[in-house]
Amino acid sequence: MLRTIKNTIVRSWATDGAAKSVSCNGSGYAVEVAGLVAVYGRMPVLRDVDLDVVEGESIAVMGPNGAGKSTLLKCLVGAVRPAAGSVCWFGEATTRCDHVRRQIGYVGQECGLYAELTALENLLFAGRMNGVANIHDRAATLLTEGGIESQAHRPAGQLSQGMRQRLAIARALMHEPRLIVLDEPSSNLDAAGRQWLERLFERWRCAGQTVCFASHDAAQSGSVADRIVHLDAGRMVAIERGDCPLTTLRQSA
Amino acid sequence: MPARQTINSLWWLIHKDLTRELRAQHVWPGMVLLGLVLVFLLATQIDLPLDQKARVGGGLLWLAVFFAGTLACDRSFTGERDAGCWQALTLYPVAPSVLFLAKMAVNVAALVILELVLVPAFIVLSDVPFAARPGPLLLIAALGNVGFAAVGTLVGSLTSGLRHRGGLLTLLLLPLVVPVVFGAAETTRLLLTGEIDSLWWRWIQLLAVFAAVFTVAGAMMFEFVVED
Repeated sequence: MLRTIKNTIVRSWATDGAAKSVSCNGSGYAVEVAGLVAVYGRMPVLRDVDLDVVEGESIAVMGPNGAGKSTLLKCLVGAVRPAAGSVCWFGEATTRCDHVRRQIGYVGQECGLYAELTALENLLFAGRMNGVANIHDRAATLLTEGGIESQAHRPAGQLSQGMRQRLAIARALMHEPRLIVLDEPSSNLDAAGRQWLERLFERWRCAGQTVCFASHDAAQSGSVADRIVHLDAGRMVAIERGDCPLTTLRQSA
Repeated sequence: MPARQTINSLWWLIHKDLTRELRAQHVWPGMVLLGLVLVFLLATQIDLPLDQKARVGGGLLWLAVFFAGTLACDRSFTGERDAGCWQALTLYPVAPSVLFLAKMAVNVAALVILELVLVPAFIVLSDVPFAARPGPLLLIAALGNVGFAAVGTLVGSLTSGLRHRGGLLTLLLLPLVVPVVFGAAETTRLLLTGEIDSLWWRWIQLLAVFAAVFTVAGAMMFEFVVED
């Protein structure tokens, strides 16, 4: 435990120091990742990853299990501090600022919902933590859009996995973030849920919403992402364009 | 963060934890039961004249309260982590110190519930007149609760992330709260023997300083604990 405390403090100092020397371009970029290294204990999970996410872009992260997809996404939301390298969000080198945190919505592999609270209460709690105005209207809208309005007053622990996933995504959208980060969002969804998610992605693309998501589904990634980032053993091995990149979509529109 | 938003966040964090506990009753029933068992064992085993019971009764009562209270401190973070909610909680635009103070307040509430049950039970079982001077006893309980909850919340947050944490919280927490147990026991003894003098106030000051130091230190250090 002492080692954990020491590592935490050392990493905190290291990243604070790094943050001062980081230069963020800012304009036009939702996230700028440079030379990112992440370690768990002594094991490197991400090695020298560089990635710039332009505002309005949709990025899919693919790779085999253990490639570092979830860790990369956690770094993108500031949940994991890098051992080296830098991450900038909307021109800021830290997520400690409240205004930066309010611009990020994240759904991890675990839904992270309070089982004892109802679906509605989970959304209201997220809204209150983010200082959202008109939280009741916003929550009602999201429950309706997620097709779970009939479950609003049921405890989250009694919902099916798919319903919980929809609720977790709705929770991440409560504060209308500029950057949405989803870790394998379709993993618990049935066919209807996957269709709902595809429609959601389509809507985000049309609205110019910045989205980063991890997926094992090449077809889904190709159809909804502007760029697909391939990770293997913590390294970025390839970046390819999606089937219908944003530029093409906007030109055709 | 504006002060109003901070206070709102603090309130809704406390509200969320209390709602969860009242609905699921993960910890409090077990904690109260453990406290009652301890009180029953301790109170019925003191075969002493009443004036001597009054000398040792305070120490035994607070030992039972704080020992049972470790359950609340243990669960305050493991409950979040087991449900996978901890990460989401740390990503909200809420200062880590607010998270700490909210968890600490819920632990204080758990100790108050515990004391509301254990003090009358101890009085009934041992005849020690704890309720004779309720004002000073409330002061001792308030300072003891805050000091214990501050240390318990901080240590609970540190141990909750460990894989092999079984019993570690109790092992770390009880030695750290020795000043609180001593302070509460000694002030209660002096109270029951009618010796509210400068020595009593000195113990009260110790409890107050301990509570203040660990509350401030916990709130300041919590940022480092929040990180995985």
